[in-house]
Amino acid sequence: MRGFLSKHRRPSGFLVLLVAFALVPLWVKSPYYIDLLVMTMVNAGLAMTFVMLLRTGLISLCVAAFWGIGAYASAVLSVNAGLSFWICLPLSTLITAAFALVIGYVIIRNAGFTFIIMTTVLALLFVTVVGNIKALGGYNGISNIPAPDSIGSIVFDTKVDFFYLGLVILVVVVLIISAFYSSWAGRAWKAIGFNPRLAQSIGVNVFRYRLLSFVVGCAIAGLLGSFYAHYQTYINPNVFNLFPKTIFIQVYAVLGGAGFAILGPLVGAGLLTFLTETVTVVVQDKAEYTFMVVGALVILVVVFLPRGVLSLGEYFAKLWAWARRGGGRDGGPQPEQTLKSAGAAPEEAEGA
Amino acid sequence: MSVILQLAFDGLTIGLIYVILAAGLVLILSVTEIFFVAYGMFFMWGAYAAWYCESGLGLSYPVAVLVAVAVTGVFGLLSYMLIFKRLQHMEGRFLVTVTGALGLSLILEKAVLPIFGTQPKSIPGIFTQAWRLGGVHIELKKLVLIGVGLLVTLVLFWIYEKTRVGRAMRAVSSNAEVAALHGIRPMWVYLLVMGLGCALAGLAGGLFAPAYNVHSGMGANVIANVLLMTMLGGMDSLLGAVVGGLVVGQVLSFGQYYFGQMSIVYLFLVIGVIIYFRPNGLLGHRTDLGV
Repeated sequence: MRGFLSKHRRPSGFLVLLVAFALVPLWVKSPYYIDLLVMTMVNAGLAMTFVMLLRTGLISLCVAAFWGIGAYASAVLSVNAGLSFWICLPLSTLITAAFALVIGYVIIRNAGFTFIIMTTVLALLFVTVVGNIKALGGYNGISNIPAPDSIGSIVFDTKVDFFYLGLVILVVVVLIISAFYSSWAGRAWKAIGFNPRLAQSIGVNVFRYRLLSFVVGCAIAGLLGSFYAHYQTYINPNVFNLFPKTIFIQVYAVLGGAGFAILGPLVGAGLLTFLTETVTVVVQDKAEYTFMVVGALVILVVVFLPRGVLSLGEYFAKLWAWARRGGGRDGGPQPEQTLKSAGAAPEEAEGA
Repeated sequence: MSVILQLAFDGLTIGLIYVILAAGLVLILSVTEIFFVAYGMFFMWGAYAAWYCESGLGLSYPVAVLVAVAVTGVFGLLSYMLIFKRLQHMEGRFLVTVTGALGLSLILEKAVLPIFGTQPKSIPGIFTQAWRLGGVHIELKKLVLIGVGLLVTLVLFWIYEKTRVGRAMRAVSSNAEVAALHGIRPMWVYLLVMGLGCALAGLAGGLFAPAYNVHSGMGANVIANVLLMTMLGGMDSLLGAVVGGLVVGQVLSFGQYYFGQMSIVYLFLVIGVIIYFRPNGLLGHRTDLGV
């Protein structure tokens, strides 16, 4: 058993976290907190797509715009065409992926500043485009988006039902993302993020792999957008604006730690979503003060903790190891020895 | 015919504002390599500062514009010294500088509301003379704007091309390490460029204020246009900024009249096609300005 755990420490850790998280609605009854938890999950998923693009050296400021494309596609399909949520969800994901393919094909050619600038403009123009199309409801948005149809005895009428639906979607998203990371595509992405030219010289098609990550990331954002639209039942273009939604998505990733692909966004989204609500309560619902506090927090985090909150864990692990070694003197065992005597040996013994 | 002339005149006016803005942003982007999204907010702060000095403190309009330039310039210097100086040399500097700039723009955008209120502002009674010339309505304040815009552009070109400071900027822009080997302190050049660029944004805001309205959404509105201009002209070319500003000014002036708000979207599509074939813009040179 110990051997199994030490071999699969990360998945089993996530499983424990998942079960603990799934049990939360049993003792948190307030719909307000459930709503915050659902939004945390959506935000964490969006931040994961941001990190996914970051891995390949692309800083995308239009995550929220593609989230919006997914939400609008799903809303139009269900309100105007009368389709069920369970058909809208995959369809809107595909539509978002198609948009991402076309847009990415043009703007990924020249990564770096051009890509950042074009995605910024794209994010700002999304609001203008949607606001000027009458069929999409203009700046007033689309309301009365129907809830998902019931499956068997599960009826989606309370926030707790949406909590579990969101949890399932988030788990699927995490599984998809980690499957990509551990496959050939993930290795190529890592190589590109490490050094694009080096990757190109050893035969990785940088453009194609970047396009793949862009399409996959945007499709996941579209999936979450579809869920969000049916959860909120009302969307308007300003929700998906660059100021402040994309900023927040980026901050979730950076606050948690952009080096941690899955756990970073989860921690960052959890911290900031609840912190924002706390600040809103403290400043008595003056939204501009909330945004100013968040902006100041962003600057403090990037200046003093640029690798995110989770890098504190590594720091404390090092500190702990240093303390166990006897404070820098040749007191205790060296880290390598500790590992050998405590971790590896029992495993071998069990195997034998 | 008179409609077309009127639109061309208005396009020239707003185009010169865009030229000043794009020139400042091109300087910041090419020299410091910081993606400075907060730039639009400096423009807004310049406009608000000019409005406050004129209406609140009762200063004369030229002094108010100078105060706006000073305020935004000092803001720019402070933001570099306090934030971006540390971020610029960090590991993964593109991500941290973009994040820092986004945080700064969030603060600057929202700080306007509690300080100045949500009502749109205007500066009435400045250069109110107007003439009709062949069916074109020409206001003195727009003429002043055109004159100042041309003057500033020329001075900027002179500084950038002819003086030692300009040569230092170009040297750091092309390669900061080699420039340091030749005795140029990149830090001072970065500081200077941030101050100058933000002061230009403030100047544009100050000139913008009497001719148009001042409101809290203008920073976010203008940044999309300015970024499009830098893409069109090239991110490291001052001449490209001038061309981009004038072209975008005309296109938006005519586009607003014939297509409405969607004109900027069509412009984006056209610029997307241009970027596809010329990734560095029309007049840019560098290919390695990237992550």
